Amino acid sequence: MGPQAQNPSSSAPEWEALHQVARQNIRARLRSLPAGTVEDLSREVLVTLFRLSRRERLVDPEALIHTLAHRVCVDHVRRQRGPTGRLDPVLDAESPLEAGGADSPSDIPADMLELFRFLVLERFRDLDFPCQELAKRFYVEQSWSTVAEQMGLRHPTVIKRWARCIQQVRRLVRTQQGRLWEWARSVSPR
Amino acid sequence: MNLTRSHEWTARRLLAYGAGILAESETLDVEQHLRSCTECRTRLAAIRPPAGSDPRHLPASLIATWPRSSRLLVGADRDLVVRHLHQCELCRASLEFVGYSEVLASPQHAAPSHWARLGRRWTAWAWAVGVIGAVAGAAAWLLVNPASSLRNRTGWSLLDPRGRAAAAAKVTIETAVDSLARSGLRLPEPGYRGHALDVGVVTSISGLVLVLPPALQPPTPEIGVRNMTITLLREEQEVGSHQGRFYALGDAIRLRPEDRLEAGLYELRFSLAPADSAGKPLEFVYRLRVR
Repeated sequence: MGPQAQNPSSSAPEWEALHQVARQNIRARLRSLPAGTVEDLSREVLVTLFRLSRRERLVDPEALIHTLAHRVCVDHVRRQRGPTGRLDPVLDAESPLEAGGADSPSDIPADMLELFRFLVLERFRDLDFPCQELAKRFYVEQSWSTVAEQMGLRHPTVIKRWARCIQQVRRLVRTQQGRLWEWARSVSPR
Repeated sequence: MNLTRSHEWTARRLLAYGAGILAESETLDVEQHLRSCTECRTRLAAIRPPAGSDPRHLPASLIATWPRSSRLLVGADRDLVVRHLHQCELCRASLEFVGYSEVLASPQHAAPSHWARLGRRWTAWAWAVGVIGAVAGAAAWLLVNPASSLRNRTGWSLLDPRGRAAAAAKVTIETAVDSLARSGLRLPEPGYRGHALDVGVVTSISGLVLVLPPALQPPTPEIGVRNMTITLLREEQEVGSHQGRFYALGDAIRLRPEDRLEAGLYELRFSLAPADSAGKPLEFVYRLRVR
């Protein structure tokens, strides 16, 4: 990373320096991480920062890195615990984190939950726009009550509509091969 | 349900809830619990997309680890990512930003876990019934259709190195793709004697998804581990091939040309390796008309 970075605005951030800040932030939060994982996570922070920079001018990128690095570390701990692990509450950004289990940077590096959400949205983009709209709102809000309020619908109505939308995906969860679908099967209670 | 039990029950379902894949009744139960449980609401907040991210774009974790993560994508999921990249300037720029090209790494082939699980569960009698059924099915099919669909594989076969060297592959054959993919064509049972199947235009964007009939699904785990070779030919010239275990075919395959597939008649051959070296491969042939 670094030499390939493009300047997203006239006051382009110093990406190499920001990358270093991200590494330091991650090391400070998860001290026992191998160098490869620190690199993966710091790159993940930088990708989000880069996307933000495309949307608006970054006023204080270092402060943003602080917040993003904390979140990436929380996500990393969740991924390491695996699909059957319990979720932790998000603590404030200064709280130390405990890395869970053995750390192997080569084992499922992507966040399966985020990837799953992305692919559900892409499937609905093809098949059913109203379902995509429901999925988009739910994945952002994580609450069908809130989605129902936003859309001016009754709570059970929204859930019923979603149940129809997700029926086909639930079938795929039961039948498809591949790491993503194995993950989806693992998080689905028997 | 008391609160403690309900709490544990909900905690085990938060990830599935966040992915949106719980059944309707469970979704209602989780939401009911969330209304009264601050702890579960706080835990759920941990899987809300972070500020600055948009679930409609490729996850930052996928982009940051692209060479390893893109290998996990198979079948229709892989196509969806390719199509998204084709259309999304932001995701292409994000990949370029971290120094990766938008080309996906070769897919990682999953172990045949369902066969393995199935194999463990099968009792001896079930195995016997399965093998006898497979043999009877194959014999019946041979009686009905002795010539056109089952041939002794010699000469130009993919198993023959001469055939393999004859022409460079121009069409990639992907296996175990999503059989529910839109516009998938359901192949008839082998022995189909009608005209060539009209498959329309085949381009590199969507490729051609062919949903396999039951005869092209392994009837037993033993048969599933035998090699299956798929060859696509045009005017006796090989334009694409794939070799792998029978079980790895999955429910559907995809033919994806480098560019638009030239119009004309094609032959798609499935060749199942024999159980032992003395046997002969079992071959299934389809004729496809590409426009």
